[in-house]
Amino acid sequence: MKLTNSFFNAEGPPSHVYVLAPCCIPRVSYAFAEFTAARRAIELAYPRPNWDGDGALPIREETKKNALAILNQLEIATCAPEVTPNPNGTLSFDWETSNGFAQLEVGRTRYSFCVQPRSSSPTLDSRDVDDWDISVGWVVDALLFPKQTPPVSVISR
Amino acid sequence: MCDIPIAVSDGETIVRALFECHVNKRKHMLRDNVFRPKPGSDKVSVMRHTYMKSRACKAKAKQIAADPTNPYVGLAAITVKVVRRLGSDVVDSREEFCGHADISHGIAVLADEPPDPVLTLRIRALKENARLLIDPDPAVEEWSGEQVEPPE
Repeated sequence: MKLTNSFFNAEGPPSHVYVLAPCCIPRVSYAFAEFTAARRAIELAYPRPNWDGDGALPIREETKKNALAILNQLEIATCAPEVTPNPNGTLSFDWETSNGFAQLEVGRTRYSFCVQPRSSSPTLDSRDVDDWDISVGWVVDALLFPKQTPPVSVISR
Repeated sequence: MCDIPIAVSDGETIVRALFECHVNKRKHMLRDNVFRPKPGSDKVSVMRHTYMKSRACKAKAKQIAADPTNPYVGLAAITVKVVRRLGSDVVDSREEFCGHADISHGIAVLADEPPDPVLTLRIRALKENARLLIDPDPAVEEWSGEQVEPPE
């Protein structure tokens, strides 16, 4: 079962929301509005050079396109990141909680990833954007946003 | 003529001009891009606050603000000793202006591509050790924010 945005926009409460095993559905608890804000931050990221007064490169359309594609996939894996433009023309996705931090940096052809849980050593990775995998989002979610309760609920009337 | 010694000592405090892109939305945390080098370089521009003092650093920060959508918001302060402990260096670069220096990471960052994550972690550690000093009144000439260094 795939839950779409129309699920959230429907008038009145849904007549049935089924309980499904966590492995079978995309997570629905991540804030839609925060992902919308992150998308907007990517789209509006500085298109002109020297935006930091210190020679920064503009954020190129290819980089924005890569970042948007990855963000779209992250939406079903973990919480929305804070989007940070970098002076060398890349975009970073940052997450920080009491459990540690993670950063996914997206460029024109490559991405790099590091996650540093408070209690263990960092995990580092760097690959072609084409090789990006949703498991990055799962790692962020598991290490930084551990769940106290199962991520599904029952609503019915 | 620049009377500041060329050698940058461990005891000095340096500051980085902060623009809106360097702080989070609520302006209470530095972002990880604050000590990012310029593209094709390993260097980050800073000012030698121990000599220039807050007012001159603020004036220069406002002067270099280039993008109206990314205004000046304050300064980030860190000691040279901490920068060196974390593996980077600070070198005088008075050819820019008297009081200018560069944090040199020793690893150049490529245009449009992420750096080695090892450098990312070091840049983050620098951020963690820097003090965010938001300017409560960016429009005026005087620095009226938190004290950057203890009085002599």
